[in-house]
Amino acid sequence: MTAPDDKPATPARAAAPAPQATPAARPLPAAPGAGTVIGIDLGTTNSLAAIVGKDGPRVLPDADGNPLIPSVVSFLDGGQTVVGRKAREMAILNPRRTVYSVKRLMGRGYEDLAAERSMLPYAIVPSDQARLVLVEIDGKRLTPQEISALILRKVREVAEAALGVPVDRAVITVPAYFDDSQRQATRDAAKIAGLHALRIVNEPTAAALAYGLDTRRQGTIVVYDLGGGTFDVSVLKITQGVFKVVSTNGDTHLGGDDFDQLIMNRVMDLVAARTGMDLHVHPQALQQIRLSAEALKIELSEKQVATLEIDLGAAEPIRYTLTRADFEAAIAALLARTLDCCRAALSDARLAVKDVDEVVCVGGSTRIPAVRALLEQEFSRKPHTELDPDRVVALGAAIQADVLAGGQRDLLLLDVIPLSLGIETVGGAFAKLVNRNVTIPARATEMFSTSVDNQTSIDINVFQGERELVRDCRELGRFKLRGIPGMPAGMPRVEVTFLVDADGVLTVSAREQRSGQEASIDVVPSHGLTRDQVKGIIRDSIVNAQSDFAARELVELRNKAHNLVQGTRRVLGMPDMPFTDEQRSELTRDIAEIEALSAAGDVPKLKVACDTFGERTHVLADEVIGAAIKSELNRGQRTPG
Amino acid sequence: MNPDPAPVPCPQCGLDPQSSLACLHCSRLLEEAPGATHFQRLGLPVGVVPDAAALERSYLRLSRLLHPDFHGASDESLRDLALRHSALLNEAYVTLGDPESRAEYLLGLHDPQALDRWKQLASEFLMTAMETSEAVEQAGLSHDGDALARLRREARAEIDARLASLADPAAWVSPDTRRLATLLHELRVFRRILRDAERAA
Repeated sequence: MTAPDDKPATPARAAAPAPQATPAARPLPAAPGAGTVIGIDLGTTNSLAAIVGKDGPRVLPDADGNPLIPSVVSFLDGGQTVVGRKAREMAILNPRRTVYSVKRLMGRGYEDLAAERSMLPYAIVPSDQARLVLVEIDGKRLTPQEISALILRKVREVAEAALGVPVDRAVITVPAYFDDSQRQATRDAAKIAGLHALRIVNEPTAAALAYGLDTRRQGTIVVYDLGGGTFDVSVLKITQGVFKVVSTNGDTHLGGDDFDQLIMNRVMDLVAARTGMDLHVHPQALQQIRLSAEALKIELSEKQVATLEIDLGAAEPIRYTLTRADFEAAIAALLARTLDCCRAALSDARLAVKDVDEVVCVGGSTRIPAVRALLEQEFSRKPHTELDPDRVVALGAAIQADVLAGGQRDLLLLDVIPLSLGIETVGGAFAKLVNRNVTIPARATEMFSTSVDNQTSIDINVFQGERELVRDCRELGRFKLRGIPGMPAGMPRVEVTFLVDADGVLTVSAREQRSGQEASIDVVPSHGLTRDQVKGIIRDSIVNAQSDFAARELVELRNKAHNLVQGTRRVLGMPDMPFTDEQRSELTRDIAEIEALSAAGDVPKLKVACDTFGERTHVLADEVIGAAIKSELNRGQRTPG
Repeated sequence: MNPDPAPVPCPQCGLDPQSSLACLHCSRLLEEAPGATHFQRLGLPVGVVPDAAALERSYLRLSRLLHPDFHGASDESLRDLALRHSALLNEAYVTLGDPESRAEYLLGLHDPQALDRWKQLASEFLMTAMETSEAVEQAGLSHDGDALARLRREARAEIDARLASLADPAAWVSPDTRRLATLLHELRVFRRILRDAERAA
């Protein structure tokens, strides 16, 4: 939630048309670097990027061909960080300094995370000022936004390396059921990562885009999205390129992590019974068990029985065997909760199960056979699983990115706000101003007045939720309207406009009607960062920025060097190439030098070497091509027609 | 109330823009004159029974012009206008798409104070409503499913009868605002009773 960005909100102007740059339909000339907008699925377990190319949307893989980047950050000695697969591998060795599932902390308060606190091996602490949760690594405190920013930076690097162009704009997905604070936190993470988040898109909606695009499906679809940490369900109506979300429901604290935890608890009970060890105080062991539990869960999607083995340094390793039936029984209650959400979403959409044309599976946890069976039973039809559930959200985000970049105009996405927004009124009652499942952008206006003479400010407390009392809803922030002209009590008429943008994020602006005076607004987000804090983080991270920049430069240079070397090798390997022996040995020497510099990571030297080598091979190429044409011509003369 | 004011020509192409939010001919986004109505926004004649298909068509057409997704590359003031206009369009669509909110909105156009002024309902009506509420509570406490089902049916019938009265175009020709406001208030009472009966079930 924000106040208008550092300036008073633009008031609705009177009759005269305001200067307007262009009609809506005409795209503006592209800014430098424009055109490339990627879609990013910033997941609890994995993150990845995708883009729409000539042949449609595709995911962007790293150098090893793998697009999935584990959403894990590990902090090394000397303040360095590693992100992704390497960080995940370090989880066991470096448990207290390896952060995973940070998405669960985004936009949350310390008090919201009672369940998480005991199961996370890294330390989380309450913030001194806001009800914000912080991750503590070696005494240094980091916001979840900063850690997410590190993941986003990694995703960006992978995307840039895959595309060969710089990227600074993205569409980022969030669970549909994310509230305002969680969405805002995601936007802030992007800002810290130096990415302009053009749009925050709901994950199930993105998945629907990915599924609906190629087949031009019509009708009502239910998207069931069970990921690592969150569950979402959205009901959409699709007609002629319009994707209209009718309702959404979910649970931002229900996902594959919870299934892992159920297995972990059983293993830890077993260990305690066998050895008397309480593993809660052994983060390394805890981490090892967590990874094994996850692997066991995945194995059970293929097999009926699976066994995990953990070596805790005791006489013999601990073995734990689980059958698929036992696992399914253990998660049945959690799965039942997802069905409750589905039914609530359908009821909000005023639809019955029989009205549903398609069911779409999204998220890694929908690989569990019990989940698919449950959906088939509930909806009396096989759910769609054609697209990889780990990739479909990123693909949809890429499609939306393409729309925003101006590539697609026949597609229209109309999404909704997942939870009602409102304000606190007398006696702690919650007065809803914007109802849940209303299409965004959405607005509401409310008139406020003063209760004492010459009162110049009014406090407005904004909440989000469905309950009758604000104490049962989520506090988003406290607004203070200032600059109200002094008048007798009840005389000022301050019209406050609540505007929910297409990202589902609230902006508040106010205006005193009698004087026409703009009232200024101070926002104190309850579970987020103020704009000054975000700026501070970005400023402070300039310290890292130098090394970040160097790292990015190195990645780009290495790619360039790699391409040069590969190209030259290919030419050298071709038969009948008119190289002199001297040229050959010179090229071979240059290749060896470039490879050494690339391995050493010496940016300045590598840059020079690449440039000179590039130039030299260019000249050479001209000669080679000239010679090749000549020999071709000769051959042509030898064997006519 | 002036039901259908003469349209202001589009400053860009000079034609009737057919919406106060954007010109459907040349796609230009327009600044609204004060007092623009939801009907003007959607380019529909003021009325109690709008053509549902025309409403949907107009909404989607305007969404394609106004939605912020299509203004990512526009300058800031235009982006801001697109955002505010999209929100207004959505509000207009929701308000006119539902018979009850449409009637309430229309009544407000005729007399903005009508609902406040005619708040006091007849005592016979209130007595009957209170008895029905008590019957719902009793049926809920004694888990009398049949009685609850009957009460729900009755409440729905009362709601439908009032919606039908409100949807009668004749009622809006030189409207009796007191009668219309009373119908809306009574409608809300029965909605509450229906909600309680559904919860008790």
